[in-house]
Amino acid sequence: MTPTLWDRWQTRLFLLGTVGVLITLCFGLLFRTFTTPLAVMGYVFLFGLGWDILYQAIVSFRWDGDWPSIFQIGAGVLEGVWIWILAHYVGFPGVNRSLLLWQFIPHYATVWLAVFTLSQGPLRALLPRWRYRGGQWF
Amino acid sequence: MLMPAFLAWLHRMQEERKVPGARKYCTILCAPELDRPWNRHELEQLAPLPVTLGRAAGNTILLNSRGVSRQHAQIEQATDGSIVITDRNSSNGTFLDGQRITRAALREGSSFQIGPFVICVAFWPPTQQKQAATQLGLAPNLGAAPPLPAPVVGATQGADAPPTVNQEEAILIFQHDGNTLAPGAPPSAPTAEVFPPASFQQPFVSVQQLRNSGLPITETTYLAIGGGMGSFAWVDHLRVAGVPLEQIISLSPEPKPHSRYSRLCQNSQIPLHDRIRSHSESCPDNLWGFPSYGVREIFQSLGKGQIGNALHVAGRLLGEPVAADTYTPRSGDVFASLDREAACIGWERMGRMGRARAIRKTDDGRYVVAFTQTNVPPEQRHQLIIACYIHVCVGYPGIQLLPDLQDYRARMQDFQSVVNAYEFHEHVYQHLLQHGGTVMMRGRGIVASRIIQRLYEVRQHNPNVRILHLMRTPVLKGFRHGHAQRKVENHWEFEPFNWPKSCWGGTYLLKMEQADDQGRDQLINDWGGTTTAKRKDWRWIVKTGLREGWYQIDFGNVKRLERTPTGQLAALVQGTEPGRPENRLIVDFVIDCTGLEHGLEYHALLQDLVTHHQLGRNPKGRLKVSTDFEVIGMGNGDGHVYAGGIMTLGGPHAAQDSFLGLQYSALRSVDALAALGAPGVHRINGLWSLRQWFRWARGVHP
Repeated sequence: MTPTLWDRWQTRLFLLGTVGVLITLCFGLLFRTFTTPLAVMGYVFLFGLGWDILYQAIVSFRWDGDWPSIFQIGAGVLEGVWIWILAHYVGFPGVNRSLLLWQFIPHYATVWLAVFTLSQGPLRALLPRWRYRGGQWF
Repeated sequence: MLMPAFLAWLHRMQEERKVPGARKYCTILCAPELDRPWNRHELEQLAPLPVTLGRAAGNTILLNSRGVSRQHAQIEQATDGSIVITDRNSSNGTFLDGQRITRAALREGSSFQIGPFVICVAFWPPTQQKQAATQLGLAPNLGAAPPLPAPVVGATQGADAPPTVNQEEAILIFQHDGNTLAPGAPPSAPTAEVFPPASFQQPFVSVQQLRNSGLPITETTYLAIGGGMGSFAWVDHLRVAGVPLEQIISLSPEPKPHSRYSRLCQNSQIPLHDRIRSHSESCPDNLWGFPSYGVREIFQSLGKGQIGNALHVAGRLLGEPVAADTYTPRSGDVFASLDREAACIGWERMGRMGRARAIRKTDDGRYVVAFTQTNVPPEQRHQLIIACYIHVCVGYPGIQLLPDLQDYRARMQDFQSVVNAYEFHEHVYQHLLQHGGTVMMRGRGIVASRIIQRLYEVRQHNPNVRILHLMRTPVLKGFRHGHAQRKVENHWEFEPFNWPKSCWGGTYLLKMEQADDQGRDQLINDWGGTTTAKRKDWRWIVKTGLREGWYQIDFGNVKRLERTPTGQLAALVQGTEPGRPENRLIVDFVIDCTGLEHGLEYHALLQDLVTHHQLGRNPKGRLKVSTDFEVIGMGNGDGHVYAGGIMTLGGPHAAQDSFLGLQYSALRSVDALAALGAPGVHRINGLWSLRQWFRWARGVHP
């Protein structure tokens, strides 16, 4: 990926808003609650806007101006740990503090994996200009 | 842009020579160190002292790069008569022989680096220089500055050498059949011949007149000229956009879109099982880049039970370029995929084997192309095609040899000992295999890495093979752009591809598109340069060779190459370090790995196009195109001419010498055609795109 900041925000919004929400609803059915999983996704998105600024700053130090897959994986783990610590130890409005790790990990990991996989290629079949524009949709 | 400057200075030099000794001069051969073709036109400047160098207007020598400070350095004559260079507190420094300096003396042959530019200093006439150098040594006792040499010429010239060999002469042009190379000057314009017809001299050609000429005429809607990878990308996009093959003609000198590319790969030691320097998602057979070559290789490996390779490729795709070497596809896989797609879109049925000679506007708002068909009897060869939309993508006109090598080949008629890496030169390896020997390599880009790899393989069978790598200057630090810097190891500069990755999409692409002509020129200077891929095997070969002594790096410029009585080659090398004597190196072969040439003037069709239609050029002297890759100045009624590839370098996209770059320009021009409502063209997006992708996946024609 060779993203711009706009791309990151747009991609994050688009993918979490579609695939992310769909998967979250499935987990909601499984966990018999929709509030906490949806709220977790919302916070992943909101904090992600800030993380993206940091990631983009790192990109500016890279000669290729790219964001390698391994960085994407690292960022996924980092964001997951961050959300879990805050949700579990600090607490968020709308998120039940009794959220269990075994519930959080499969939900978060599935959403992340779906988003990662889509951004690696399948989306381009629908939007062939996406990769040239640094991932911008609009 | 460089050529007019060069000519202006040359004229001035001649004028100044009329009054020798009237002024003190410094001369510099401003040779962007980059061995990349677009910077091969070295810029000679003769300037009276003092000479200032910098990015700001008003400097004697303007160096357009962000790596250069506005007021970067100054060359002047010191009180003792010597010529010194002073760094003017520049941000990125001035480097003389690899060392950062604040003030240092310059000598004949000294070369210093400012940003991406390597600037060599030379004096003329050389005999005076020698004398002057002696006098300089005595100068302090005399208490007065000795007479200095007056005019100056290029640094690559030796003290006893004739005036600078013009880079422009050192070209091997691809023959029209595309299979061989011919040494020589630019081809003459086609108008010197009977064909194209006389009506081609007019600004607009009358279609009626053409019909009366008796020449065979074919009419079509879309015409691709070139027939290589760029034409293939354009035609593929048109077909995916919905244009039926009956409306498209592709003019090509070769049967397959990858004919020339694969030949250059094989000559430069990339056999079918080896990997090219191209990204996994740059798939010329698939405009979506999905599935990428990497993903395809994983599935193919799994299908063959090669679990190890599948894991290896997956590891590379996930770890590149930080934790693993960057994945690149095997050339054989790329060619096979192209053959499949060519069959799918009906490439052969659209193809006409021949060479375009001239493009003219017609009086009915279209274009006529005169072409010579090569696979028909001679009396039927001259033909005309009338088309509404044309795409021109002709690739590199030829191969460039370094001037001293070209000079040697011209004098000695020896095409065996001195070769370009892109020429067929298998005899070199066969000789080394049997007899051993020393090879001098020039250039340090990706091709040099390939050649070293092959020489290393030969060395496994004959340990008497040695490599002498002659580089112009040391490179101790990689080039910087903004906060980013390229990595360097053993004077080889690394980067996964030949441009920063985001030139293909994202920040740098947008920056390039939005920049004006001067800005684009600057960005290309900043991002370009000679680099190779950071591959573990190549790095290991270099390190091992250096340690064991069979691979050596030396710095200097070859002043002259001769043949010894024993049939070897003797290279007279002027080292770049101060005070270093000339060195005579004996080698068996010289392999020039410095690259291809892409001067527009070396392509007869393009030279005719810009001359006849009085088209503007971009800052790199190539075709001036809009952001949609339309050739500016070629619009004609409903007709439009588009271009792509290296002949548009300096335009809206830096990486046009790549698969993905060609696909990008193809997409932009096909998008423009869709917006114009050109016949049969859908915009490739959304559900249409998805539908066409599924057809691709099923192997069905679009």
